[in-house]
Amino acid sequence: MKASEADQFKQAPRLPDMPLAAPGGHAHGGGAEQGGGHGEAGGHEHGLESIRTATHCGHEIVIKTCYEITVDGKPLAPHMSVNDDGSLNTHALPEYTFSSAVDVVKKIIDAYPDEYPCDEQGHDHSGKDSSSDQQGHGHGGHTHEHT
Amino acid sequence: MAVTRTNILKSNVARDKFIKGVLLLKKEIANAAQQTSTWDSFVIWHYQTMMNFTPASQSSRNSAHRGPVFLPWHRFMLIALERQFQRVLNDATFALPYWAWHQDGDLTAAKQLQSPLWAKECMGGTGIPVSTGPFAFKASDPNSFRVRVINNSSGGLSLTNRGLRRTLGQDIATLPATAKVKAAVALTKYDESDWNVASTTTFRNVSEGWAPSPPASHNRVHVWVGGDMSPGTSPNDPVFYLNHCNVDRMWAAWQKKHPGSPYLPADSEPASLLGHRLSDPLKSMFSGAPPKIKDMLNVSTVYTYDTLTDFG
Repeated sequence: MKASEADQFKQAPRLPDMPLAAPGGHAHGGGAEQGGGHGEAGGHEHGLESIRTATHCGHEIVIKTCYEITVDGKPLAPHMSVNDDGSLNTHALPEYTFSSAVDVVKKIIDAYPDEYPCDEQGHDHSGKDSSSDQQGHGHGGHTHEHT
Repeated sequence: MAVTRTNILKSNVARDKFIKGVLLLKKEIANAAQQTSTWDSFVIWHYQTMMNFTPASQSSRNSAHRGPVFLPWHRFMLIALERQFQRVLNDATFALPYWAWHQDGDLTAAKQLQSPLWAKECMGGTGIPVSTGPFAFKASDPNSFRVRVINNSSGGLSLTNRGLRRTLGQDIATLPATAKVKAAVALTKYDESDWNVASTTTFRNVSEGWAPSPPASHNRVHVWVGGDMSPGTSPNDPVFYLNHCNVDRMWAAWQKKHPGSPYLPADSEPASLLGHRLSDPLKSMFSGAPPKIKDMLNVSTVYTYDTLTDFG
């Protein structure tokens, strides 16, 4: 690229009109232009699907991993992908790498305080008996993994 | 004539121009209905590009990250923002500064937090919200720096009106050290199959920070700064550009060190790599034909760096 060609980017940006929810609003999945590969496209309600493929000794391997996550009984769909080594990434925190889906959700709760206000008293927001939370986390989050 | 990008901690002039430009772009309304600014447009552009999966059949590699296009797309973003700075500052000599974070990374964890980058004269400090420096939040002052666009945990974008957030050193204690970035720049190959996040021996994947021990390099800086640098709307924090300018400088050093190593993948690779091959267009938010990846390989008439020697 030459300097004269770069000058075209002094123009005003032209973003397509897009839905921006009002403060505090939830626009689930609204940022994805192409949502293929995750559960919403695959008919897996509130779920996520990560697909790993490989070949070994001439055999084609396909591993689909689906997550159904709720926090306080409400679905959470953070676009998770599983890497070949089993580690996890999420577009909710795109530079982080996690060893488990539980860790993903815990960190999302920490990183999105407007959605998940921290209850330092450990009160359960799920409406269920907090004593059923054996790990002592007061947010009632859980994951179901189907591989 | 090419402008010269310099270390923000070594040039008060570059630092002050950068701060002034940020505030001007933040005040320049680009969307009257949403009251979002030109600065915010870059936030949205980054997020939209990140959520454009390539190919659409998977949800990992996208038009800006987790694949070969990571470095060219962010170079394009930096060039575009630099031109916007030049416009609002009416200064054709303006060049984005960089933060040589690996030099801070050689310090103890405690001293990293005390870097002059976080002084009130520079980027301000840590906090929810940031309360010092030029981007501090003042509830009584509607003209103080406000974050306007954020993504939620499930992928939607929302409007907001709050202060900038940083949690320096909380999610990870230390920045990348010089030895790590030198090791990345020493790698010979640009990228390789699976063209995603698995490779431990290619410059793109290691400089992006997926290897050898994630989070590394670029990713580690995002995680270390935390707060608004964590989600896909990370360009909200002006530090985003200081980080990426240093990552781009790493790429410039790598290009100089390995002149015989081509950008990969080549155009002959299958359509499943659309958006990442040499002649594929970059995702743009400007009218007109978007630049191609190959347009980003030689930008020597657009900008240069004052030095590349610290990368070995």
